[in-house]
Amino acid sequence: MFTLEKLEVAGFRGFVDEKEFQFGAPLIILYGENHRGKSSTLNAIEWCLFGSECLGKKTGIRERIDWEVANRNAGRGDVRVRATFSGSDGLYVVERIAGRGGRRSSDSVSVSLPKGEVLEGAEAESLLNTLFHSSFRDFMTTVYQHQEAIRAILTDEPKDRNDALDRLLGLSDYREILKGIRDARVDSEVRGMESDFQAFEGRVEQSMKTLENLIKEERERALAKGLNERQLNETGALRYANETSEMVEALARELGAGNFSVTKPEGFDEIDSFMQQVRSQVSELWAQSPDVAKHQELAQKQQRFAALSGELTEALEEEQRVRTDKEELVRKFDTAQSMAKEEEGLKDRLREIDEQMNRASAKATLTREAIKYLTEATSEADKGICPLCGSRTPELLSELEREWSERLEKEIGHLEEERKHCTSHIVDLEARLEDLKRLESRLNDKTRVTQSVIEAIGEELRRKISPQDDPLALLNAEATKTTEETKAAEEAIRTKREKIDIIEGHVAELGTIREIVSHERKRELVQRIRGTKEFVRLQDLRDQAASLAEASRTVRSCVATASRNEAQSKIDAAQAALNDHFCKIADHPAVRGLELEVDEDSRTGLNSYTLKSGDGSDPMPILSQGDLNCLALSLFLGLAQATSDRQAFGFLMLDDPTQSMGSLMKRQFVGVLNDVVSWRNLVIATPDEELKEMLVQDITRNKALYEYADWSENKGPSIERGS
Amino acid sequence: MAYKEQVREQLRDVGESSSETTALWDDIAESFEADGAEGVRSSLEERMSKLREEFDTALKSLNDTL
Repeated sequence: MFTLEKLEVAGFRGFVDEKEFQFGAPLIILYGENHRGKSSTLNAIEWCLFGSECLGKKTGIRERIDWEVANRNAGRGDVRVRATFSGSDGLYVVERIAGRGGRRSSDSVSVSLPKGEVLEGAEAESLLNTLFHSSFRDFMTTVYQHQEAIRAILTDEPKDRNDALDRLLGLSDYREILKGIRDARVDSEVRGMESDFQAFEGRVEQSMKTLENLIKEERERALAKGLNERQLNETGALRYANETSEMVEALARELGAGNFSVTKPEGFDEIDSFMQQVRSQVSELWAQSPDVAKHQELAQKQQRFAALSGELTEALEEEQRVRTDKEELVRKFDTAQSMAKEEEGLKDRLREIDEQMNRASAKATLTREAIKYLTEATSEADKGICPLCGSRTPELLSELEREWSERLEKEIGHLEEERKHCTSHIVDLEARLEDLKRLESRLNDKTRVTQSVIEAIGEELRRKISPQDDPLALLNAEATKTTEETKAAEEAIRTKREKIDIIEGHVAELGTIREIVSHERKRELVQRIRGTKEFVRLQDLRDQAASLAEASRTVRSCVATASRNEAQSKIDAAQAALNDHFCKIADHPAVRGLELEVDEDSRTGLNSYTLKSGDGSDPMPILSQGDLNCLALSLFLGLAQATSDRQAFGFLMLDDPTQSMGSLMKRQFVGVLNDVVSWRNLVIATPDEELKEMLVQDITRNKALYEYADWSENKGPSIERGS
Repeated sequence: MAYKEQVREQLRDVGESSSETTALWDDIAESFEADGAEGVRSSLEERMSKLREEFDTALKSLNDTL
């Protein structure tokens, strides 16, 4: 058995400068506030022994995923941890060195043996395995109790607690493997493949039925058309194609197309292209026939006549409509010349009115001046005497002025009224004249359109059309003549058309035979599909996937069983110690005795743990966080005790073990540790001053205290060895 | 005994000494050593995905025939 004697650490995690610890005493207490380097000290021992094994996701410890081995402030020096172990034959010094940044390539490990020999690299790793015969997983379960192991068990979620108990028992590998197998969803994928396979089988059946129905329907249709059974096969189709080809050549000769020939199909697969060729050649022959060309020309001529007739009728109607509008305007308001004359008369009268107004205005000015003169020149006494008759008339001049004003206003009022009337009449006349001009212009346009249509008719009829001619009548006469010619041409092509119809009917029937034969070929292909290489391969792949799923289920079941068996065996080994430690530490009045049982979670296949009190009841609802902490510690100590006779390490390491414990529990825990220290050295890291004091006072074996007083970026922890 | 041996022994106990199942276990264990649970998942997914890909190709070819 190996005890830890000395530890030297530099550049590792919280350490910067090199520090040395003497670990020879039965109890080593690492005491100090959080983040002072206590956990780094314990981790350094672990890393020195297991190197990269204790890093990363595979450890099952969340904090280790992005763990940095090298201290960021440690300067250029290497990371170095040297641990000295005392064995039965002397001292073994294990030294592990890593380059900055924890580069694995620059890691090195060496072991100095008691007789001075030094092993390095793979030889050193191999010796470590032989000497300590302990995996990192065993070390974590039975030697080093991690903080996280305690924290995880304090959860309220049964799934997480089962996970934590698996980890405490060193079974997280099984759990992770089961998780990986479950997440791969192999069964679901196989079900998908099986479903696709069945769907394909269904399609094959459906396809057979559809083809049978199609063949039956097509055959019935073919027989109804007059084809016979002997024609409804590949040979019949080829014979039919040859007959069709001879018919096309005969027609070509009849239509005068001398060097015309049709490529006959040599096999059934050429039938489709043959049919296309016949259709296109018949259409070409038809288009090239002189009778057909003549018929087409006449039909086009009739179309042009009909179009010209329509255009002329429309142009004449338009022209007539505008002409009627113009005549209506003249009838209502006279001709343009009359309206112009009337406008001239009104303008003359306007000029006269202006002159009359000017004269009246001059007269008014003169009269006003005269009255003003008389008013100023006549004495006050004479102002009331008429200068003509000498009679006395009071306010004579004022009366005269009023009388003249009234007369003048009346005269000017009349003139202004008349002027207004004349002006309004002129505006109306001008508007009507404008309307008349617009209608005349439109009429000219329409007449030009009519004329151009008539000219087009002349061109079509190839004759000059004089004003005395009726173009519509001429056009109708020519159209009647063309209709008769068309009838004659139609008669001429009818017999040829009938031959073409027969050929086209032949091609359609050939198409029906081709469809039947194609469907029969396809049916044969589908019937044989289950014997094809592809189908056999498909079945094989489906079976391979099913085998993989079956093997995966078997492996999963065996992993679950192995995990459960190992859990059961560890629990069996640790059960007595677990019960004893728990009762001593927790001293729960309602939980007398504790049993841990493991079973399989039927849904996930993972281990599911159940706690039972001594009386068989479930203690979980009444266990406090402190009790659960006790449970985790009891299980760890129980496992350590159960494996103590096979254990290579003569020490246990506990990191912050009293996270949720009260004073009484701590004292009881220290009592248990006092028993433990009789068979194992202990290294305990704690920020708990009360626990430190209890350990110092109550542990009856020798002890050493390291106090982590401070920590700085440049130097790392400041550690003092206490007495 | 390491977990690998425990499971292998379990496979023997249930009469699964066929080369396919033990080879699958060896493969799973190797993937786990390399990349943890994620490695196991991706290794199985890769095996299944190869089969699925070939299956889909054969199925497409047969479907085209119909």
